[in-house]
Amino acid sequence: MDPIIEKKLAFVLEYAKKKGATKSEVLFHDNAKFSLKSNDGELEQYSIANSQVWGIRVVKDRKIGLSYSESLEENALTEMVDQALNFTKYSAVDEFQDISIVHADKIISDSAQVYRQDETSLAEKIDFALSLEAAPKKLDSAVVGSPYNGYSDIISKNYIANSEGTICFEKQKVFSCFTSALIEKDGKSAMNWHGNNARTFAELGLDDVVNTSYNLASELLNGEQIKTGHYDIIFSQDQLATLLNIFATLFSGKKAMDGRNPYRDKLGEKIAHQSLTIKDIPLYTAGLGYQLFDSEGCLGQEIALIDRGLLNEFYHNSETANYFKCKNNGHASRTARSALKIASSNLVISLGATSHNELYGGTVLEILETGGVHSGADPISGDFSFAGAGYLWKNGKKIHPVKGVTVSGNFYQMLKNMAGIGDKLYPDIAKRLFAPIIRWSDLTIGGS
Amino acid sequence: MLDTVTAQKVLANAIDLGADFAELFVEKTKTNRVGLIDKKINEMQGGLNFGIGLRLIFGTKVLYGYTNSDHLHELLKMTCILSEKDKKQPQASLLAFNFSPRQDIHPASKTLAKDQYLDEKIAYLMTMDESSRGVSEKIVQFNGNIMQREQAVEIFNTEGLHACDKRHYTRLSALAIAQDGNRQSQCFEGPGGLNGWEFANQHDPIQLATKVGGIALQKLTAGATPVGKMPVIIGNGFGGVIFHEACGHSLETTAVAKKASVFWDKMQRPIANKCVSAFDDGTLENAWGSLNIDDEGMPTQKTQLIKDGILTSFMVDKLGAMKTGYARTGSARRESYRFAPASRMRNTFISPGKYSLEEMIASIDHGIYCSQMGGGSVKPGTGEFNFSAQESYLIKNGKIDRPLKAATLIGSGSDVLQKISMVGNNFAMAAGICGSVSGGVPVTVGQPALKVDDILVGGNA
Repeated sequence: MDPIIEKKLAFVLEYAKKKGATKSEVLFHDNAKFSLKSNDGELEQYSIANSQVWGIRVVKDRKIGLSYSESLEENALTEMVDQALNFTKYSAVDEFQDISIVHADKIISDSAQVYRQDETSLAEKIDFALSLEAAPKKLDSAVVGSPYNGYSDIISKNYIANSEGTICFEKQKVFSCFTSALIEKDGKSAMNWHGNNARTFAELGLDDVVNTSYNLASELLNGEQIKTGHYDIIFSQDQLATLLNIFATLFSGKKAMDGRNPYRDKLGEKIAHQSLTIKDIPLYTAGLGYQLFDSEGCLGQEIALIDRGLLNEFYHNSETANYFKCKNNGHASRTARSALKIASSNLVISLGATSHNELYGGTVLEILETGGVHSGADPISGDFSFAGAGYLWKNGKKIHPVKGVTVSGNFYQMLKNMAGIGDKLYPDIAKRLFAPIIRWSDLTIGGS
Repeated sequence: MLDTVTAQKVLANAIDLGADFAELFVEKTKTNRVGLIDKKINEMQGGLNFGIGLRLIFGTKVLYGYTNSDHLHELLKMTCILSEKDKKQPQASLLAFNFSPRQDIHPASKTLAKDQYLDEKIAYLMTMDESSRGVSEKIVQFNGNIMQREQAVEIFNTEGLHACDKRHYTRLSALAIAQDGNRQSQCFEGPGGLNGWEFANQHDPIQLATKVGGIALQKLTAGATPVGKMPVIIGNGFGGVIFHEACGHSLETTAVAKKASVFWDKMQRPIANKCVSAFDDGTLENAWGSLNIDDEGMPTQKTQLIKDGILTSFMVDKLGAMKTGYARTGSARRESYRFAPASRMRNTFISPGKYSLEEMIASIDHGIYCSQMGGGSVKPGTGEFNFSAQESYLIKNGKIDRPLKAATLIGSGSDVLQKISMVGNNFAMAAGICGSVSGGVPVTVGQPALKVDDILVGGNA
């Protein structure tokens, strides 16, 4: 922890108290990001960025006020506090939101877990970035470019302090990369991108990123539509993560509190196939969502969101826990610039017992690429419809690549219609979902 | 915001290190957001963004950095770190700053600098809540937000440019949720303008809230959407998002210069049906996607992209001009100082045609009318797109038959442009945020209703 920042945190809390805040909470984020992009065999962009932002949440007369500042001057910090306090004059009385996390000792994240030593040189990073762009072209003369590629690493330092004596500090480092392959052949074109995220540079894995991107683009070049109808579907981990992210409303204590979670009154009810158990595990060491404490400073706790098909628990922060009169399970989410919400950390889906042959038996469409999932999904009704591409499988064999089809269904119904769940965990690119392969029954495919 | 002596020293240092071009983008943005949910104000916040972006160009290579500090030593340090690998003998020279006062073509009166208008905003949100719930007892939730932002920018470059602008943004958001038994549906609308709080005077809160409440209610009765290829009428206003995504992004030199666009070699060649003409216009008074100057300091323009089906212009920023040879069009945009500028859309629209909506519907035996589009995405390299329809109807024997749910349209931009057979006369525009390489920027999309003869519809029937 930087003692200068600690002093400023104390100054802001003291100033807020002096100006009449009943309670206050200060966040400070300090990020250093480095990124590279390549084009035509040369670095096209080289970026360094240092950003810092302060944010405050105050309680006064049981009302909440929020403000933030990117200006680092002392008068900007006092203006930030004054503005937050002014907002409390206009806010409604908030019966449930409070600043209540109390820790007698400082909480400091485990640096061995989230900030690993890495001695990669600048030259190595530049070589890597150039390879991200050049490597797909070397695989095949039909690759006309890798228009979207990039390498980045980010060090983020986050401080939380509140008027109740809590001080938390976390320092994280994450490496990321992605590339794309744009292929043109015989008047047809196809493009696919792939990426990776890791705690160390060495774990990024250039070959896997390049080959995955190229292989799918190459196959989709000859992709074709399949007949319109109802199919069993296997989503790749990345596509499943996207779907779960959109329909995370289902698990949100905040949305339930706000009347926007359609499963608000269904705790304890069967909402999914009995083989489905989904947990959120903040201290899951393989996950990049690893967090010792949440954005209020509450220690992260493992929860089963769905337990053998039953809706078991929502994500809660201190506010939603107060509202539902239940335990705060440490899933608060807030940045210096935003209001108090909830968020997931690492989602882990429990293993099943379906063999690979069974998962890919009969006719099944494997969806490896989607488009427009966010706009084509309605978290309230559960209906979704989006573009998809991947492979058609029959009796355990890949038949042909598929593209230009639509995938439609209802997510909440889909959870009940699981046809099989595999026996091995795979991560998504973001390393925040760890799930076995799951076969879902009877979704609508629009094609030829 | 940044004193000219500091700017001059930083840019001179960049030239000394061999940069061919250098630019400082200084930004100070005030924000205010008021949110309502469950009949009460649940969010009241604001803040100050301040930062400086430094762009160095060596050849066509861009080095970019940003910081929250305006101290000279911090900016000089960043210049040295950025150019460490590329420094060379100076070849360019630093021209003296020539301050060009902006011509303010987007006046605003009720600005954040004057007041936050919190009482008025709260009253507006409360009126929307009451009006939306008044549509029916089945409207079980209403969520309203008002965002106001005042972005002051100052740009210096080594070619002697010194320009300033102040941009006032206001956006109103209304989301209604309807419920009938176990069925729930929702509708969102979010008009925005390059304007102060007076923008709200153009949008009656009762009308806005009643509209979203009515559509959410109607969607409760929506039935299954047919699947397969069929004629589709894409509604006016936000329907323009298809052109924006499927064609507009492919006309930005950000994609064209890399040949990651199906249109990169199609200048002055037909790319659309003859009935299609399209513009990207940054000059529309107080429109959400408008600007006085772009984020490289160039006055914005009205750019004709397609004339009678022929490609007539790309959207070009400085780097795009260097790489493609096309003249700049005042299209350089960035979300904030955290992003290097890129060629981006402003207010992009297809010009109105001659057909009434009724004539267009009457021309279809079996198809759908997507009266309100949602979002979507496109692969610029191939032009393949997908879009969702927020509100759509089945057309049967030339007449509207019934509401539909969860429709998705997929296809390729170049293909759809050729298949537009009727252009309506009911032109309208709508606001959105476009996310791309230089972050999320305010844009307007627009069009009259368009009939596309053949497009794949993904439904759930």
